[in-house]
Amino acid sequence: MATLGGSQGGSGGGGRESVSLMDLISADPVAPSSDGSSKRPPGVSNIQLPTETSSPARVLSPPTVKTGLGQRRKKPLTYSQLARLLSDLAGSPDLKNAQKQLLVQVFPKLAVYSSVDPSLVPPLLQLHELADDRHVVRYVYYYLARVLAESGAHGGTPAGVVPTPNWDALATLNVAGSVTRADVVPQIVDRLIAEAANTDPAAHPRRVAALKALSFVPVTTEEMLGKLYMIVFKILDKVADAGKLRRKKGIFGRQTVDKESATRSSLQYAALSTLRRLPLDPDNPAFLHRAVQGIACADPVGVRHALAMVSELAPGDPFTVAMAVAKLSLAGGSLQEVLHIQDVLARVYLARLCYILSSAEALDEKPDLKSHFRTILYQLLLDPSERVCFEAIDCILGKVDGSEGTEIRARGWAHLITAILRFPEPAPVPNKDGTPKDGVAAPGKEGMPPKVPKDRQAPRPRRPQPLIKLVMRRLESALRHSSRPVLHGAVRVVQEMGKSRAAAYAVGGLGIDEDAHADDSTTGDGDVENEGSRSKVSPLPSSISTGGKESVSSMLSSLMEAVRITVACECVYVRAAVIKAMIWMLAPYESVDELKSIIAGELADPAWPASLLNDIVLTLHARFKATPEMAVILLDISRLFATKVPGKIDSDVLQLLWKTCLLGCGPEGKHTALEAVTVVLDLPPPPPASLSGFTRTSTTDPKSALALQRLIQAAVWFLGENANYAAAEYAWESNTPPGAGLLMLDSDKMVAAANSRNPTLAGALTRLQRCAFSGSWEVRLVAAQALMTLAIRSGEPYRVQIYDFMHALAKGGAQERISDLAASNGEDQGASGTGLSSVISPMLRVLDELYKSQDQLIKDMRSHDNRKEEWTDDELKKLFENHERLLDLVSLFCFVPRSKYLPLGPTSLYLLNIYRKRHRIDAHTGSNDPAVATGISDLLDPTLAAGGLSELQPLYAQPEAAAKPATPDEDEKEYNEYHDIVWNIPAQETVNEFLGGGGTEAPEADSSDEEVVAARPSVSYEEIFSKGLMESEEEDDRSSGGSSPESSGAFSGRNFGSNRYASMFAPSAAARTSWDKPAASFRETKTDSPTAETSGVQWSQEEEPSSVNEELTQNEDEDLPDSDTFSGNALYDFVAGGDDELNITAGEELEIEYEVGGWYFVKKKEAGPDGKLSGLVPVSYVSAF
Amino acid sequence: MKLVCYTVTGRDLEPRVTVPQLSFYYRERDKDTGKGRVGVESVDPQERPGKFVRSWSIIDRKICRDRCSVLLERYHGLPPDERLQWRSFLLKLTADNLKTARDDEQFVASHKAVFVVYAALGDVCVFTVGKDEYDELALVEVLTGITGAIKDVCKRAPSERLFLDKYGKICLCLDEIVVQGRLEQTDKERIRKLTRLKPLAEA
Repeated sequence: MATLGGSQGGSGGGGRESVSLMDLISADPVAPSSDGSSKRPPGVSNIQLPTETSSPARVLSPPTVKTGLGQRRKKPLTYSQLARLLSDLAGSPDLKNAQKQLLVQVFPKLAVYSSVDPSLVPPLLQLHELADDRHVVRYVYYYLARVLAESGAHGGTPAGVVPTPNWDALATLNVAGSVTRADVVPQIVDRLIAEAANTDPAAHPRRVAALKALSFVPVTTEEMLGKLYMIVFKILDKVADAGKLRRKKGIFGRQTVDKESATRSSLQYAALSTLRRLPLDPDNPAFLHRAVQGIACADPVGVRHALAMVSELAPGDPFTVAMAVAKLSLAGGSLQEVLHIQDVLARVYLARLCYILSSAEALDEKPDLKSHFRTILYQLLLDPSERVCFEAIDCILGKVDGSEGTEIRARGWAHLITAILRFPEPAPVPNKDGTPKDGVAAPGKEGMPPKVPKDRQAPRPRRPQPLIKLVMRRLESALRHSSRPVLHGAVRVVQEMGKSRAAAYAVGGLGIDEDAHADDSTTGDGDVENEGSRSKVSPLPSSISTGGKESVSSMLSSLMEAVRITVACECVYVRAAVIKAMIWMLAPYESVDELKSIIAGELADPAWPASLLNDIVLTLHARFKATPEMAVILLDISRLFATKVPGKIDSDVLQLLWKTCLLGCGPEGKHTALEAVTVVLDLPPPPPASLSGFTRTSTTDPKSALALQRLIQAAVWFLGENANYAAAEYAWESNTPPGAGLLMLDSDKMVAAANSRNPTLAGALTRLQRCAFSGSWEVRLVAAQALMTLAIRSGEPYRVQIYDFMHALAKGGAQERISDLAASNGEDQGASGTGLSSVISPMLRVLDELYKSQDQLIKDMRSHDNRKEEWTDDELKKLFENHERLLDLVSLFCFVPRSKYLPLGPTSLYLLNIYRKRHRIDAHTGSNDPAVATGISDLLDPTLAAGGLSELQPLYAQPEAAAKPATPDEDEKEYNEYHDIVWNIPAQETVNEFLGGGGTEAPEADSSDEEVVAARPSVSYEEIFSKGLMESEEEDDRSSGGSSPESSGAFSGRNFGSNRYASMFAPSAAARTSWDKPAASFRETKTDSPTAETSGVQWSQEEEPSSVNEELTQNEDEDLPDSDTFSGNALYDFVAGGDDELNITAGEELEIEYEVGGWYFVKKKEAGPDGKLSGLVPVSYVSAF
Repeated sequence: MKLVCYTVTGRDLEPRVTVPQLSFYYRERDKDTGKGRVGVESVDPQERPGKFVRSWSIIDRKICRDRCSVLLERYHGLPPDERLQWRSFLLKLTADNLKTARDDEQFVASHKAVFVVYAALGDVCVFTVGKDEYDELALVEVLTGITGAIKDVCKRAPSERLFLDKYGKICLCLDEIVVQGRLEQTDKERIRKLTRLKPLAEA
């Protein structure tokens, strides 16, 4: 896109064939050709040149400028030439000719440039005063408004185009000396204010234009704002009672509008329009008064602005607004009239206003007023425009700006399905054109917007009908529309309906019975008589069950049928909206098969962009949040995405979905949830590159293969992290004594025992074992990590089973060590071994330590029992230290709750507690508590200590907690807390943003599916794991070295980083390179305990957290300069030659941000005339201090 | 400002290969947020030595057919870097399905909470991008206004040449249709009057 980005004027990237837009416009202004390609300027080839070379400053040598009328100009004009021409013509004595030339030559071409230089303002103001040609004056207003708009946002063009410097303007333009924006803005404002106050009827169009231009004035001071308010209110004061247009008979019997009233109404419109662009002033009663008065304006756009302002004011003070509006609407019926004005947006704002007022609690005491507004809202359901109708439906569903709570949405749904419409007796209301029109017309048979016959006879009374029936009819008819935007909009309304419905389910207790029949004929007629002129909402009698009646659910299903048919639309965005709508409308008890088959069919279409697919996955998130009971169903759907389009979806987002669903699906669903994840592991592995020629094209795509591998890695890691949670199996809750596992070394027995005890965990284990053997090296590595996590967290016999398995793995690796070393890149596919031995050996070492220590403890206990001796303090201390050391070791691999986890087995708890009690050691902080480390806790008086401890209780978790078996709630809480940290991945942000209805930022520069892998900002899993492992190894070394010198020698395998996989991650590189957030959070949890009080492992004290953070925030690109800025001075003038360059003048003070390849990226103190604040300049042009 | 932008581009009626160009992938870093980014640029880094805070790597060779020119665009409340991203997003949409589109056919797209409605008109394409109250159907109003005005000024479905010839007038019309990111006028007659500084409500 760079070829498009850098053209002059910013109005886009030049014309076709590398000719700039300016060149094209200037090419032949007098005799335009309808076929651009045949009349190409000579000498322009088809070959595309970099845009810089096509800029006027470079392509053209400046032609001599002659200001003669009728001069045909073949060569394009530069900005400076245009500016000079403008200034010459403005002062020309032959104004008539000059104006002609301005219209033909100057103004249209000037429009191409992104910014209007302030030096053009004096000639423009001159023209404003002198010119009599209306077109010229209109252009003058246009440019003055642009100057004002640009001064509003310094440093960037505000409402304009992609900013590019007017390099040629700056280089050669010196028409009016040094004119700055600050100089000219007051001049313009003064002139416009004077113009706006001009009461001459002949000048009133100019007055309207001046008012419009005034709305661009940068409101920087209160004074300026006050001035603008004053102008507007002054005009409104005079014209507010303009009311309707007065018409009179013309000469030939034609109706003409009374000129004076027309002037007043258009002035009122202009004033309202300006007022709307000024900030809202809710404290000013005049503001509301004028806005409400504007609703009766004769100008439809004016009414729109008035309604928009009132509807924005309404949420703040519904009572006052309602009173003001009611006075107006009841007396003159202005609101009813809005129903018939042509402006669509006016009716949209009316719907919004009516909803806000009819649902305001402040108006509870005025039920008639509320129902009046509600009636109007219902009438808008019959509006011919879909936009208005959909807005009304959205409002009824409780959605205005997307930030409504569940309660409101639920109420909206209940209202939709229970309300009965009783339309008022239609009284003929004269509309704006003077022809009588019916107030509300019945929907046609097909639910089409009502076509009101001009000469209607007596209106027939309408039967009351359920609200939902009308809504459904409108939606179904919209879904048959041929226009894609209408389809998209209709499907989105269905989606909103689903959201409200889900909210109603979540809130419950509203007594919604969708099977109740909704029919109009059986409702009591008494109400109709009493409330003849009002709609009335009454609950549906649920006892109606006569044949032929439609129930809500049957109506819904017919609507969904229409939605399903829409999936045949060729527009992929509409289809995406359909799928989202179906996900939202899915009820927890419904079958998901149909939706699944639709999604499966859609996913087979390669046209789907990745961003849309991710959007749907995010919708699954949102649906889960609304209805957690649907976790299993949603996982089932997400499985489709994982298996069909693994290359396109963001695995972070999918992982987060797995996690949230796992948490939400309750004890009985956990197994299913885990299965949904493990299915990913059964996907066919990406084929090796050498075979790609023989397989299908879709699978040979290396990017999708890579993405699939990442997804598998993510799934493996997920399994490792969560299997214990899903299976509810924890070592610290295990009832099996630690030694029991060792007795079951017969593998068959072991597996059988494992299976019978906990099939979920056993299943996960089997999958992980399979992954550790097969798949790519990266997957195997993650699988080994996952297995270790499982081993540490699970009780027997799982731990011993994994231990056994790891031994086998390590042996396999050891046998092939020589060949592995020969390969030396660490990435062989595993044919000659698993390539994991050096990764596994420290794991095995830790497990060995665990088992050894457990054995030792059993022995010691036995000997003490035999000798009937109490444990001495020293022995207990040794035991405790051993316990802490093992905890530290284990914590390097995965998170375990330090207060509960017992590496020495449950039997050690009693002894540990004795020691802890004696020395007042907290179970959470262990020996890392400074009080314990320095021995202060021992010095405390026992009695005082007891009191102190009780005071400390709130600070620390209760020490007894370790002894008590954890309740499920606590488990859940701890797991959540832990995962809040573990899962601090970018996806969380994405999902939250999605749930918040955000997502307004621009799409990725290249959001096509092919880029999805490359564009993903997150760090790949192999990086995370390799680095996490590296770090753990190093820390491991230090911590174990500290506690027992001889043990450090045994960890011989830990130097794998510098040796076998040196090419991938040398330790020095690992130390210097920092990671992105996911990596950081992962490492924290891999190597450290997540909470502050448990983070007391030895190594983390050596490393200051702040330094870690600094390291983390560094970018991965080492060659990038650091962000320290220094100041400098511009030595010479420099004229920017491209988008990212900056104009500077000699002597200017600059802030140098960084240097790159002979260029400085500098920041100016103040933006230059071109509005640019920062950019690149050559190093030699700047002297750095 | 809920109307994000509108853009008028040339329409690529006959895809034609001009010059095969190398595509360069680069990694760059946002100075403020520190976030890295990957992108593609089809300019040879040799031609622009050392201008980017980027590390380059040649990965792909792409056939670049780039006849689509941006004729006119207005962004409302968007930072400059996002404007470029939006522009490329829109151009990509054109490439997908506007080749065979009828003049009155309106297309819809979305990106997160932002809607895009676009249509082809003669040789040019018009895109409107909006959010919140400017949803797809409100954008249809904006789009209809813009295409109507262009047709009105050009007297027929415009070629690029014709569009450029009437550039100034079209700018004035669009200035009446969208003001500061809000839809203002939709009625052709009113637009015509306002661009000529004539009284609005004369019979």
